[in-house]
Amino acid sequence: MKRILIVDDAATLRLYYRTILEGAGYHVVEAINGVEAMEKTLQAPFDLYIVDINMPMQDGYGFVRELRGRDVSQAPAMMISTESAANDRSRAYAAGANIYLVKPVKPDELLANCRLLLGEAHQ
Amino acid sequence: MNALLEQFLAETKEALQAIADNLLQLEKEPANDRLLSELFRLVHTLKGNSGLFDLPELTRVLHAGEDLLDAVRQGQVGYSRLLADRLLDAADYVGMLCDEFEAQGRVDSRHIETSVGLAEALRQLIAPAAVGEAEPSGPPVPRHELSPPDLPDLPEAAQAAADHAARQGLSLHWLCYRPLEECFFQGDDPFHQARLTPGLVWGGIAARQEWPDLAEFDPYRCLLDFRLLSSATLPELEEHFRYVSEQVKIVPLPEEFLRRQQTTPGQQSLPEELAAESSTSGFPDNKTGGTAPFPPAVGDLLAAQREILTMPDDVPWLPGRIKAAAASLTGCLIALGRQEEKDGLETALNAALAESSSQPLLAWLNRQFPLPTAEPLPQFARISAWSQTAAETLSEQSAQAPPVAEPPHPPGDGETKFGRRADDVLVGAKSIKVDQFKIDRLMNLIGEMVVAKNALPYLADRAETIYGIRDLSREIKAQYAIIHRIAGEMQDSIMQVRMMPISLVLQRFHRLVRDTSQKLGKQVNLVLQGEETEADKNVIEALGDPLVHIVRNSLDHGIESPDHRRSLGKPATGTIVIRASQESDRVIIEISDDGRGIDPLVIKHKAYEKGILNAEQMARISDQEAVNLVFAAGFSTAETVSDLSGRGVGMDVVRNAVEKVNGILSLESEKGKGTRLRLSLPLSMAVTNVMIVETNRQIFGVPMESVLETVRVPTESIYRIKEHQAIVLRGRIVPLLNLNSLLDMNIPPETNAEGELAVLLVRHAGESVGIIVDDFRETVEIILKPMHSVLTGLAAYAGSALLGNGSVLLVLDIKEILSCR
Repeated sequence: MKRILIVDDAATLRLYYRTILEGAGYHVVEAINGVEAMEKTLQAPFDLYIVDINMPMQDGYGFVRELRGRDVSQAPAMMISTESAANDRSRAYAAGANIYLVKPVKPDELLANCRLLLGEAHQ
Repeated sequence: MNALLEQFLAETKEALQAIADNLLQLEKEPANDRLLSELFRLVHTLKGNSGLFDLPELTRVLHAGEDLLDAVRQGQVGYSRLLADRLLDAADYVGMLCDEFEAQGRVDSRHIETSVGLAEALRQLIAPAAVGEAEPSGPPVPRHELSPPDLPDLPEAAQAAADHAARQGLSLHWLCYRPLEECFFQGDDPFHQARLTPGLVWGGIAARQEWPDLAEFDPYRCLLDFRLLSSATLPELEEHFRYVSEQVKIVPLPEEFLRRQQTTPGQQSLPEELAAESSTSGFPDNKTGGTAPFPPAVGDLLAAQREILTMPDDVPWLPGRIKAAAASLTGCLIALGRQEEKDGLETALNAALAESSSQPLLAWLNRQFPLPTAEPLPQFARISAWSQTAAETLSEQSAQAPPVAEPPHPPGDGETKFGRRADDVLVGAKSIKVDQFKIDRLMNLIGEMVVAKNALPYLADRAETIYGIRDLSREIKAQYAIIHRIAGEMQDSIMQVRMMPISLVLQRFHRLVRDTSQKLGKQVNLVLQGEETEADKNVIEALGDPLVHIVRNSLDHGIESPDHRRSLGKPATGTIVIRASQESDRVIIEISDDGRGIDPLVIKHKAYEKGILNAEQMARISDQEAVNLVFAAGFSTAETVSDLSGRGVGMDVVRNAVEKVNGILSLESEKGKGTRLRLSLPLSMAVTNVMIVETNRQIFGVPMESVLETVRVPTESIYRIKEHQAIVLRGRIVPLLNLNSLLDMNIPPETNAEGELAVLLVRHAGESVGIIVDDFRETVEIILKPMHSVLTGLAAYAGSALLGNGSVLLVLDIKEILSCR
């Protein structure tokens, strides 16, 4: 079963993503900021990361940068932001994210991107 | 989705509380960047969450708040009281909307105006600093001249859908939506907005002018026109586009339109053009024969990897970034069924890593997925799928809409977790939310276990006295000691679960004091101390209302107006201190102010006027006794009754509320210096300590809170004053009452072998009273159960409890039996 880590400080969004992803048969783990996400990654890496940008302790850019820099996981990372911060896209890509989506992400958009990034055949 | 909504509402409430706290804190230290960022983050998170639900009013206000805070964070706008006021108003509004949403499952459309007003008020604060930036400056945006339908020639599927809608008697509308060029900076998402158009039958996007050269192309300017065909009614459409109404033109379609559609098959329609474009100029046919289109996300994903690989290479985490991009591309290959190209990708990856450069991988990408000659906007890749999904969009929308029949939220559920602060975010991950009902059940079970455990000593006695097996008796006692210890620890741990910090109730006072003092034109500084002191949830909840009343009283009657204070030589700003602390098994809360205090003379006169005192009493009572008269029923000292502390609900109500949870309320005041109220409450109300007394061969429990001491008094040292009895104890006269007669049993009390009477000294209305009983027994811990059904009328009893030997103990309500005599 593919393992996905959701990194977001908003519990509502974590629940939203989790419901969608578990419905599609993924194993979902949650972290509320970059620091906790890194701890969980060091325990066992994930196949895909879904990362919010604005979080306390360590933001999404910092986490992805560290993820790539420490070379602990080469798994793709999806970064999700609010529309008002749309010009943060380049920053996300520079940090090492692989796709940048804008909130609210619809279930089919989320799943389509997960399937692609995880290399699962399109239905 | 119910769980999601519940989570959303709970998180929103938590965040609103934290926002209010942060704002009040910021008022004290406006330059605190950490507070500002935290504030921004909270609003930002809320806005992100609200996007999941169809709550445009909420999102609008949050969005404006976020923009304003962003401007403050960037230093473009200074923090001011006005700003805090408006943000607090907005927070209140959001809270109100959530409550309504929670109760009714929807939000009344009449709130739109308020939401627009609040958002404007917030944005006004940004405007002066942001002129020429986000604001569309210069001449007003021309109302666009989008022609009324140069009737589109729709694709057949859309025609059929339109025809179908028309046959069902639905009205059809043609919409032209031309967003402002700067719309992205104002937080609009025209594409999203257009996709969510109610009753969408067909939609198309067109450039409103020739595309500029790639070099000059500014992706942040919106140069698009949206054309939409909808089967919704005009009011529905106006409602949907209410925030951009001046950018949208809505024209009802005449019936002839459809007839014409049916007779003249269209030329090439816009979406088809785009679809054709993206398949010709897009990517080479894949191996499935070119008929199956890419899943819409593939184009975006490939474009993203291309962008990543063109980023500057001079970052330390470059190898990781390249590997991740390669991993994403591998995913795409597999998803497209082009696994055989993976080897080439791997070679390119290794070359890139060896050279520490993205170039080899970028070259591979450009080779396998050549860049289209005219680069389509990222959005265009999705458009081909759009018209097909228009119908799905509608069903999705209804699926996303929150459920209407939402079960009522369990009361107090949102309060079980305390407002979030930056420093307990990490702890949050390790805590869980539990329904209070489950904890109550645990409490009851442990209570029963304690009672069952207490049966063991009786059993040991019986083993020895009745069955004559002394060894067994000793073993039972040894076992009892172990169970006793474990049960005690269990009870403690469960109590701990129910413990919550006092700050839960004290928190709201910052806001209350701020708003109230502003209304009264006073300056007041609130100081909270010992907020971390913990008490049982029930105690905390019972504390709320009395405290609010006490603090309002202090604000209203205690603290003087700034001018008056200055003339007295006091600082203009008054101070109210709320201090919480723990003293053995009680929580002490002191509320003190440095206001005018209570004048015993004024109180005496008022009491006389109201008939609470007669002239003789008035002359006799001490100052402290006079001050305590504020607790008398129906006493209100304010010369003008303000709308704050109000009339009718006086300190007597406060005292009753406190005493209901076994609390004690006392008051000290010095005229001109201030007033201090002291609340003493049990840490927990779950377990009560009672002393068992015996009278007339029956046993009763007396709560230990009311017991002062027990004495044995020789019958001859009892004085008779008329028909009353009294004793002199350490130089003070203590009135004596007989429990038998208090309980209407006309039997004289029994003395012990030495001819002494057992007297229980209890506290009543600030005095000591002696109650004569036959004998004292042990004190026990019990779980007090209130009287049920027909027994509720027995006011003399606070409740009953089960004892270890299985008998029922009636616990006396001392206050009640003494005041009824």
